[in-house]
Amino acid sequence: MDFAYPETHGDIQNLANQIFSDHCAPDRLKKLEAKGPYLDSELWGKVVESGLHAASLPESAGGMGLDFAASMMVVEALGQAVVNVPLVPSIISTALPLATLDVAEAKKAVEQAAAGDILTTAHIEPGNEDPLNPSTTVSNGQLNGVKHCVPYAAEAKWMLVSAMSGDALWVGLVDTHADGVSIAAQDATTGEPQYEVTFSNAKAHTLATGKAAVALMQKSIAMTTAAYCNMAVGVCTKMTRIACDYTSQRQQFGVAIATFQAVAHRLADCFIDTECLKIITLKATNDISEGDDNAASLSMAKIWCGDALHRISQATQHVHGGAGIDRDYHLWRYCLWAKFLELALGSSRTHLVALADRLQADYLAESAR
Amino acid sequence: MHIAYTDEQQALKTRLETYLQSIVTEELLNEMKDPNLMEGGGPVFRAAMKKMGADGWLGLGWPKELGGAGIGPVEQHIFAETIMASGFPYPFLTIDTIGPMLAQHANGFIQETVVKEILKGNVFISVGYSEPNAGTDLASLQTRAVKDGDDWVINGQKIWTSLGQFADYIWLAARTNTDPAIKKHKGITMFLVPTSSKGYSCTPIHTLGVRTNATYYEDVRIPDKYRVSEVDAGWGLITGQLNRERLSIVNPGMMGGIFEQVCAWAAETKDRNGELLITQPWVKENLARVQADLEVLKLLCWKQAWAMQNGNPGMADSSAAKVYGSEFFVECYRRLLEVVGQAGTLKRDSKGAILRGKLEHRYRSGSVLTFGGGTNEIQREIIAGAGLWLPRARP
Repeated sequence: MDFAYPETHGDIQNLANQIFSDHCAPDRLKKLEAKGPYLDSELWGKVVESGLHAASLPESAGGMGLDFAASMMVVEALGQAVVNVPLVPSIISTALPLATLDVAEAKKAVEQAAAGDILTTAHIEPGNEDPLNPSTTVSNGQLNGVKHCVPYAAEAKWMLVSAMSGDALWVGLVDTHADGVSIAAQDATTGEPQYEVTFSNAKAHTLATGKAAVALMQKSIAMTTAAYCNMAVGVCTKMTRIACDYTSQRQQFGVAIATFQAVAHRLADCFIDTECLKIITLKATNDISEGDDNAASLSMAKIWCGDALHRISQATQHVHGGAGIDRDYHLWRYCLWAKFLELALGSSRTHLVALADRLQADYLAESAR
Repeated sequence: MHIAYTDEQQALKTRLETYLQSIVTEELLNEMKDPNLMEGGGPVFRAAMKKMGADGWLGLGWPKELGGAGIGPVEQHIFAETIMASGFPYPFLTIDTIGPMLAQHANGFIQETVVKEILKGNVFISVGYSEPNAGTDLASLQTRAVKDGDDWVINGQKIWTSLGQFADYIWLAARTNTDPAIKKHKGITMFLVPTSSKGYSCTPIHTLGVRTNATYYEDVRIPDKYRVSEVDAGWGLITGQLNRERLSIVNPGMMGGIFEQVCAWAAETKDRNGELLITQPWVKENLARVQADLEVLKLLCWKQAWAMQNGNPGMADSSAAKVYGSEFFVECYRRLLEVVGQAGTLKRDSKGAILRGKLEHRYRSGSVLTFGGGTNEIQREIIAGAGLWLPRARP
């Protein structure tokens, strides 16, 4: 048992915190947000230049070749800044799972991602948020169906897509500029560019079918879920910090409001929730890094992710009074990301049901033995 | 980074689980039916403690120079977690909190007569902190110790002296300085009071869950060699012991054992329609919620144990684990009792009792945890100060 990170991971965390915090000044973000959903190309360029985005990509593809936990340090730092860069969609959801394949198209896409090009994964469809049971279909290498809330679809070169090929799951890569792919902007509260993508006999490269396809899509889901939990750690830490700073300054009845126990205890509860989320997220991240079975720890982490985000978001807004919801103040961005991270790839409730089914199966197997 | 037991740690746990089957016998469980012996103290319990001492299990993680096996705090935690899961009334206050404090701070006489005997499973110690008028504000305690020649003469009353009915010593905090000019926590000294001393007495307090005690000190005279701290400098030992106690009282072992038993029970018990209880959505979701929250508690405690091995656990982290763990226990007993239903209130030896009434007993004793070892409001104050650097309100 060892809770210490290797030194490299600490260095990565420090550098990531520095780069992101240099670019998340509220005035700068306000300008970026003025025209609606945005991609911060300047910041993304700096992240790519630092090589941090590719911490966990193989060296052969131009990455640093570190374990999965290394990239999660960068994602947590992003959670403290909430600036729109395609780190999670391009690298975590797409390039990392692709890097496990020995397929020419996949290798090429991973190299492009390491060089800074954007990839994305279409996880969900209107009315169906289960990427392992899509309504989209594929036959003869042609896709038909609709995906939505696809991050950076218009900015991406390649899109990872799951579809049904008869009764079997299929996973492939789609050139976002190919014929038969139409992309329409959606308007998400996080301000991240998200799109509805319609396939009408769109051509696609097959990567895997059947069990291999399930394994590939599961990797994307697991890594993305872990990334959401790690980003949530950053968001929760920052929301709590903002609320502590504010209540230590804000005077009422002649004293800082943080000196009221009712306020301080609410913030102490935010601290406890963050610690709980942090430790279960670390466990899930470690299970992925070490290649262990991660389904249970990931579900537990996502249950905590949703609960902690919800509680901390509400509590930190509350102790601010009106200031917390003012768009000239900076807390609101974190609160909107909190809701996204709570719901994306399954809410607390969804994961509780999954964990419950697993528990039932385990104990029934035990009692049959 | 490796957030799981190593192969050696897993092997230790497995070996211990097998060993404990010879310790937690029907004979012991029968002895524990007596409310006065429910938490240990009977002859079967004492024999089992002696056996574990002789077999080298006590002080597994204590440093070698203090007489332990020197394996480390993580292994000590594994021991505590496993023995608590086994149902043995593990005297954690003695083994995991006061023992290590004595081993670190006490004089040669106490090392020989007390610390060595703790490791042999012969000696048990109760905490004498709270008084009728000093609970959360512990530093206002009034029990007096006055120097008389080479002796100290102690007068006063302690309350909630748990396990005092079979303790050999009381780890006693007494006021040795009444100078109004000094801060009240700077006038306290720690002693070990032999319960065989003349003038010491103990009367039971029967609570919702377990027996505890009031203890009385009437001109109790003890030699200076039973003084554990420097004169007036006992506060550091009190907080040191409490830090350890906070980790011990949220040890996930006790809950882990009962949680697995309820899951197994729900996997073999049918409702009136012949469906296994565990297949009902609300039942398995109740259990899954306990599983997710228990996993967090386990990890928090692992990290604390690991941090002890690698320096010191942060004050705010210990308090966070204490608040989270104690509030989780209360919630957890509720969820598990919901699964078992009304029959969950049947006592151990009643007709129709489920899982030997363990749940009903645990929920009755569990409410102690949110205020025992330092009430959760004080823990939140500690977090606000040491974890979040908020300005302090109280003088």
